[in-house]
Amino acid sequence: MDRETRSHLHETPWVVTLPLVMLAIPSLLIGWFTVEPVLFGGFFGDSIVVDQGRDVLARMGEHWHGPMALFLHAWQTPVFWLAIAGLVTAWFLYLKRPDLPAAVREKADGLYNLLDRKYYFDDLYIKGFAAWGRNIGTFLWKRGDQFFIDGVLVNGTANSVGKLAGVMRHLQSGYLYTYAFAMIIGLTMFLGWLIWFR
Amino acid sequence: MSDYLLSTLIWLPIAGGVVLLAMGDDNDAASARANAMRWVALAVSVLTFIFSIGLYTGFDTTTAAMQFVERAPWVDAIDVWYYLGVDGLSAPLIILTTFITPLVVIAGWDVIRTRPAQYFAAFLILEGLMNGVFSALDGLLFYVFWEAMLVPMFLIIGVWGGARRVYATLKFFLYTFLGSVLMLVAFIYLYRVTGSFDLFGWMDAPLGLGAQKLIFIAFLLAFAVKVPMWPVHTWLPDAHVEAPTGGSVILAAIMLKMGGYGFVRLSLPIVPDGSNYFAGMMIALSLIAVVYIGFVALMQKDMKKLIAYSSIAHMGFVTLGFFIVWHMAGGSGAVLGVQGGMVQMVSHGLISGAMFLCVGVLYDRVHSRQIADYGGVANTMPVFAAFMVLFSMANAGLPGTSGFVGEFMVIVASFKANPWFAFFAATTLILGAAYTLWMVKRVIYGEVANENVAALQDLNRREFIVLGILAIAVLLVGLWPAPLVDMMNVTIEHLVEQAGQTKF
Repeated sequence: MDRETRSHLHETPWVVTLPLVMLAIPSLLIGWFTVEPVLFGGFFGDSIVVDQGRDVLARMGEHWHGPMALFLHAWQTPVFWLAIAGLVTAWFLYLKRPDLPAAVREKADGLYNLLDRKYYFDDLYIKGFAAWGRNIGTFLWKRGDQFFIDGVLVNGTANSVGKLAGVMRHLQSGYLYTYAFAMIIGLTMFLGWLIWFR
Repeated sequence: MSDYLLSTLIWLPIAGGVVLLAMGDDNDAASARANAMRWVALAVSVLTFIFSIGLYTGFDTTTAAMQFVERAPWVDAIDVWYYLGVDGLSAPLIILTTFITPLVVIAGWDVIRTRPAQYFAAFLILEGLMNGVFSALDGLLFYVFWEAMLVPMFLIIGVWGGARRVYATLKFFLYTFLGSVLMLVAFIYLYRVTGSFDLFGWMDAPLGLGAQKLIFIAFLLAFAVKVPMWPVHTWLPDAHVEAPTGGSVILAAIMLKMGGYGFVRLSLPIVPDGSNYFAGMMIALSLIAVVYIGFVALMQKDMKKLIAYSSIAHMGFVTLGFFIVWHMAGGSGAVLGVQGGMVQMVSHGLISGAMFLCVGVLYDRVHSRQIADYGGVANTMPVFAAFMVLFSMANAGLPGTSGFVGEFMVIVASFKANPWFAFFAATTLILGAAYTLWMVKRVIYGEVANENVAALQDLNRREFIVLGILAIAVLLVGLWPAPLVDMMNVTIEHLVEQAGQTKF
């Protein structure tokens, strides 16, 4: 982040903050009071029908003891503490010891890049799937449609008819002696076949 | 009136077209006479649409029998009848046709400067002929409408098309004509067997498996080209690119549906065993269309080509839905597949029509269809951008739009048939989103790319009306498909039953 961008950063004005606070309070309250009827109660009535024996929510409901119990139980789960650990790490690395990330980067280059490039998923999608999709598309279009179907099959048929006709037309010379000669040869062969092979 | 409703829907627009031709063209497109002709075209197409509403209000959804039937002898010597009627398969498609045509007329209002009367006449005549295809119940009558339909479309692309219009027109004509001629051969064979051209006679006629296979192939060549199915699809991108906007809209919205309609009206009930025999191949071709064409669409640089390829992929769903019937033990799954295919046809008609109109709006201003020539259009055309994003989302199959309904029904049905079918079909959810949204991103969003884009004017009232009506239709079918599905339900149950019965 450069100085210019940083100078634009500031807390939200009260016209933004106040509505956010006003939205936050009821969302907490609504969640607190509606979680039970919505998930395990009859809030939806007959609108949602779940196959007997596959009712996952009902099984979960057997362990449901109200929002307070849920709130207290959260402190005992690793998920909660992992989230807290994330917060603490971020605070430590970027607020407490901002010199550390650079040092970590020098020491563990590969790990840093792996995280910085989001496990290379974007590369997989952009250079992998998308690029290959485009390659396949180009291949099927140029080779499949344009070369094979239009070139070989469609125009190829037309061209071979043309070529065949180009050869065949030499038989039709228009000279009487050619036709007479062809008739004589044919007649000779026919007579020969009659005499020797019948 | 209702005794001759179908005839009205066929001949009213054709008569309107003939009147326009008789009035003759005015070379000054802004003259009072040219204006009068536009109003005639609009009035005729709107009137036709109003009449077609009678098909919906008067439709009996409890029977699979033909309704609004008209029957009169045409050629006694070979027992050809002027025999019309609709059921749940054809009535929605006729309403789609009469719904789209006025929009096309409005869209071409002051865009078409050369020979406007002939342009509008071609569309009106085309509308009547397409209604004829959807309502014909006599084989020869069907064939006549089917082939006659090519002529106005041939002219629309060939006269009002882009630079390579002659190439595209010939390709379009040769492809579709070649297929149709084989269909005629099959019709003649069926006539020889049954002694009539009555479609119901053909459905009841016993046919051996060998004959059924050959008839199926003959039908397939006619319908596969129209759908179009892979690998006979390459005429479509060329035809779309060269066609004027209105031509593209009708081509995508209605004419492609002819292929799908042919399968359900002729192939499935007349040669059920032949269809069954080739069902595996049809499913494979449908899935290739979905996956292969999806990838090809991704790489298109021309917006119209991209939408054309996307149409082929979406039509793959239609044929998939129709031919998975034999991969389940009948019942609701099979009905769902065919129903999904039919809903997809109607929905694709609305969405692809809207997408081509969106491209047309941009093309009228910048005279380019290249994606690279745009960027940041949302900055100068916010209202247009909102429409285009909506239709693109619908094209990608967003729930709440009509694009979702049909695709979802087909995917669910194909999952029942075989999870692998569903797996490949569902790739469209990724590929469809990828090619559509990538185009939207490059055309609509980002910085203003060049001075052409900077100078763009947002939609005028005429364009707003057309896109607005289509947006309402796309959302209506997406949020409340029940009226459409109810209309088709009984007919499709009957069709699935027919398809499941062996004929020898």
